[in-house]
Amino acid sequence: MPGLSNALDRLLLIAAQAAAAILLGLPLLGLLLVFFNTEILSEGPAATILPLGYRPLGLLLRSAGFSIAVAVFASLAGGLIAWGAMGARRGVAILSLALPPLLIVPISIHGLNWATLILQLNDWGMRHRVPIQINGWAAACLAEVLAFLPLAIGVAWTSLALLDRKLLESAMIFRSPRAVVWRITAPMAGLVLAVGMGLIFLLSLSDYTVPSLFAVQVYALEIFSAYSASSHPAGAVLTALPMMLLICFSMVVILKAGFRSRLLFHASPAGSWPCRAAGWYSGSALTLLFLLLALPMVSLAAGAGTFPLFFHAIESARSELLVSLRVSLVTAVLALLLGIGVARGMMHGRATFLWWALVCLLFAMPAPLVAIGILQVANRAGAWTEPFLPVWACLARFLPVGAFICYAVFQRMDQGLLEAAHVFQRNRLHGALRVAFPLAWRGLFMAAAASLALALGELGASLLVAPPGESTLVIRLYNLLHYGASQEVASLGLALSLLALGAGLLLTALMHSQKKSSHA
Amino acid sequence: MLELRQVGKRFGNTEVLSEVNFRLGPGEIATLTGPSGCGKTTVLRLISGLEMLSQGEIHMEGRLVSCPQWGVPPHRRHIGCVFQEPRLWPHLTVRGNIEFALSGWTRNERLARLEKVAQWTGLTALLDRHPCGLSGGEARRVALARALAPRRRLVLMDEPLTNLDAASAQSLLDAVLQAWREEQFALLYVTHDPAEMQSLDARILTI
Repeated sequence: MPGLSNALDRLLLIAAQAAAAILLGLPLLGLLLVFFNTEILSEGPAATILPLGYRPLGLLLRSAGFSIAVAVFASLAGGLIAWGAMGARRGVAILSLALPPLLIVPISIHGLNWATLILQLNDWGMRHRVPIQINGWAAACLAEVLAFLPLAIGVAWTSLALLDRKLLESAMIFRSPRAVVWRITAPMAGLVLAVGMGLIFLLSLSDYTVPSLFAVQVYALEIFSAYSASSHPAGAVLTALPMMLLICFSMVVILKAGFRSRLLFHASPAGSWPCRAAGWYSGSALTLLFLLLALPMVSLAAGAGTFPLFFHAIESARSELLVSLRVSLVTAVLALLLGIGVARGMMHGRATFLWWALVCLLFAMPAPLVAIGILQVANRAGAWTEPFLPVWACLARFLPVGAFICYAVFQRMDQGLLEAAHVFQRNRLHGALRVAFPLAWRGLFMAAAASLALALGELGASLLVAPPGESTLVIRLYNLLHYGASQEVASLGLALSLLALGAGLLLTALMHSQKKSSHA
Repeated sequence: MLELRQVGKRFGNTEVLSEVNFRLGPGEIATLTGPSGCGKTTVLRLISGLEMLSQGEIHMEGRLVSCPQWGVPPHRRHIGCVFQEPRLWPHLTVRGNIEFALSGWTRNERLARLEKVAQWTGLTALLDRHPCGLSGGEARRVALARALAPRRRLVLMDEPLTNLDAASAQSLLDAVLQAWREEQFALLYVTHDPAEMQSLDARILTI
């Protein structure tokens, strides 16, 4: 019954898009409502934090500089490690095994782990009178670079893995490997590397968790403080405006580069990686990759103490652990289902521009602002909304990420194959299930995994919206880090990392088994 | 110029080539033919150094360039190559794609050479375009120009006229023959089109 199936497909799409529009649109509406309730220019506290003075602008510039440094160092190191690892004999296989588990550990957890390690190192230096002290901006920068390194390696690996190997081979006929790197590989992979660098810049700019551990004031923290200190949401919104403008401008640049980079990549690159790197270089890259995985784990395991202490710390955080798991799993499923609808809205139809604008705005919005928008709506709707707020906050922040990934997956699908399916399919559902889904499932799974990882590590919005008794594990971890309970911090950091690593390993095993069966 | 001795290639447990022997003299043209999947492209990849041999030896100008587990890197073999697909680098213009092969040439030499190969292949008006703005036939002309530009003594061509209409194929073949008449490079040309073999009027090697 093609008519019924087509109607069902349309109904599901409209339902998904309507739900996404409500979940993404209401926080924005909530921020607008702020200005109807607050006389922002006449009230003292709000007026004093208008971002017009020298201090806020100076802080914004310092924060932008900090984030640029983090993005540049992380991307450079990530590119060098990915290049070296791919040049090893079994480098591609090693990367495809080691990277997904590393990537699924939330960036904030990586950051907290590395921050813990740096603090431990400082402590050790003090006790043994060794003049090693990494503090302030340098320590925050180092911790963030290391936290973003798996993402940077992932981006660099993707940019290289997507290159058409035949183009590299044909270059190798004419010129030396060095010339091939500089004239062919780097320019072709460069755009995606630049997009990755931009993404790291944005994520770093809107994060305050790691800098705050080293008593470094960044602009994102200023927004949080503006709301926490005065309870004036309008002040926080106005404080956030310059940063949002900066983020929106960066996003336009990044998206333009992303669209241009589509032309440079092959739909299905095949064959082995043709560029071999020197043995010492590949070895060093693989060692660094291993250290990236092992060093924080070893440090956390050492800090966690004995098994009973470790289990006691986990037992005492049991409710937070369960909340984190529930919130992140629900977010992952919804981000995928609604993300598919949003991605289709971004591709076709009359509202393409509106979908892009909505998704980009939400992605650009600092976490505390998302929370403020949600709270404004929830306060008007009533107490019944409270249990949903953590999931809503995660969705409002990470549904755009899911939608971006789904959009990229749909764009990369071979249109010829889909057209062939249109000719032969019984109805839309038949074509979608038998052809489109098998072609896209891997990417869609990635969208869910990315949303899960991000939701598992969400802090900025959860801190404001989590109702009493619904605190997440990351909130507990963050609070403990400030109180200095190092054993418990190490235990929870280790537990969360092991949890994410386990999920990552499962994901990797699933992907590999599917790859093998599809090859067979 | 080129000599293959007892050349064989295995991919895992699958033997795709065994005991291939032939010689190609300086300035000689040979066509390499055989049924689909018999390993014609693999022979070219072995000669160009993109694949390692499993058995046998390959010599160029009397020098050993490949044996099992060892091979001179592709760029040191000084060959020109046209692949089955044009394989043009999308971020470079037509000029950039051709000039990439002219490493070590002075600017004036490069300009003169570019003009010459553009004339052979009819690309003079297209030099500043990017590959995405070229038709299939034009892209193949660029691939041919890139292979001929560095004036190599051995040029390999792997079905360079596939999927072209008869008129475009003939004009490209004429360009190849004109370049060969002027520069007398050795040419190993893979095809299974009898008309192309007839036009080339060369020794036929069968796998």
